[in-house]
Amino acid sequence: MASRAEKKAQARAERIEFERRLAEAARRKQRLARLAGVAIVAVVVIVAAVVISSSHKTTVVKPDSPAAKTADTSVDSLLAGIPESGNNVLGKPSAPVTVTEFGDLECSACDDFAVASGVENRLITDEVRPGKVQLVYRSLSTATTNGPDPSVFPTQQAAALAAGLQQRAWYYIELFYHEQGEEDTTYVTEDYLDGLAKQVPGLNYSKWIADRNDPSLTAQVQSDESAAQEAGYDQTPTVVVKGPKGQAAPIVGVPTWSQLQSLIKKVS
Amino acid sequence: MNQAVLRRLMIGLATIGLGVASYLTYVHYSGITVVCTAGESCIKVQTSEWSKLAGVPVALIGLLGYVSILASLLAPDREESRLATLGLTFIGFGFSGYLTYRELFSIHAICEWCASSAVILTVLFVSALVRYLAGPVNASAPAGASGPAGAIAPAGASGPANASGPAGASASPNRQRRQRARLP
Repeated sequence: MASRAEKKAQARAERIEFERRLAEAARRKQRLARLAGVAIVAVVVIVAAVVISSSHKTTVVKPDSPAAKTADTSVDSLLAGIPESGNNVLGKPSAPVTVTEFGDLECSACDDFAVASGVENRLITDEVRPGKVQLVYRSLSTATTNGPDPSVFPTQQAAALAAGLQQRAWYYIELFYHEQGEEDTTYVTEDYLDGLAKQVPGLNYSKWIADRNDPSLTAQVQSDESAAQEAGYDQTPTVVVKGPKGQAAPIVGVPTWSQLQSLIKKVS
Repeated sequence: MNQAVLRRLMIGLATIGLGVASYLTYVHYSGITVVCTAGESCIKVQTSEWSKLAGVPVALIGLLGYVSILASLLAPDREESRLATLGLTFIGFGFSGYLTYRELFSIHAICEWCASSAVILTVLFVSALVRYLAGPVNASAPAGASGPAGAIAPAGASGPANASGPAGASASPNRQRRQRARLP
């Protein structure tokens, strides 16, 4: 028969064990609550990042929309007054340095170079407008080739070249980049290309329509591609800087302004 | 697996991930061509529209993420730091999973650097989850602040000294009175 002291010790042990279990349960509960809190915060952050990442360029800009008008204003203020000569050359033909951009109008990195990064804008404002640099656009298929309809590449590039026959290629190219749709989608339709042409200030639309059928334009696109292949360029944008002191090594991808500026100085 | 070993393993993985992210960030800003055994795949991914988030290169975001993960791993080993590691790796795991989905179904190219980072983040996340769930709870957790249930935790852990905790103080006054009464 257990003594009173033993019973007390047993009761005490049971109480301690009970408290230990309670503590353990509380600890588990607290830990799960913290885990759930962190999981909720993390999920919110992930969802926000995915939404931001997916939200851009899901819709194509309509010609008369406010977004199109904003693009018009932006492109016009960038290019107005800068001479454009044949074969997509922006700037004075006497400019000593030539910057050639190999691009694909559907390529988002080219869009980045032209619009988001602000590098091409600065190049045009600081170097092309004062007559120090002439900017040339050449076609090289990358994103379009990898997209759902590679056959649209010569059509879209020739649409810009057709505007170039009226010294408006750079307006068309800049507007295309400003209103570019999502990569790997089939947003480049006849309506889309027409809409851009209608936005180009001073463009004779009927002439542009007629010129688009000129076989020399698609031949020019092919010629640009061949030149790029011969030079070993296979990514866009590839930026080549050439001047009186020779040609600098090409920049593959979106250059920084300081990179581009130092190359211009190097070849000047 | 031993907690210390797991932590060291995670520090090693996070350091490798930091190296990968640093290289991709350098490639992005320097304009050099990324080293890639899978042909143009890496360039295709790196120049795609998903290579940036709100204008910030994903590589740079990854670099900052790995720095944060490393900081949480190098912080004193407490429940809070383990929880921070878990949260950060969860975010990294989730977002890198989304980017891998984009690589497979939107860009149709796999960048080996990005894929390796995704694998690292997956392993880090699983390790962080195991480390958090299997890890000890802080002895210095603010028991009183977390209510009666929390108050019991340090009391139970410290055994008979429970009378010094709020739970013990409120649960046993009668017994204390009885004990005092028996004293000579």
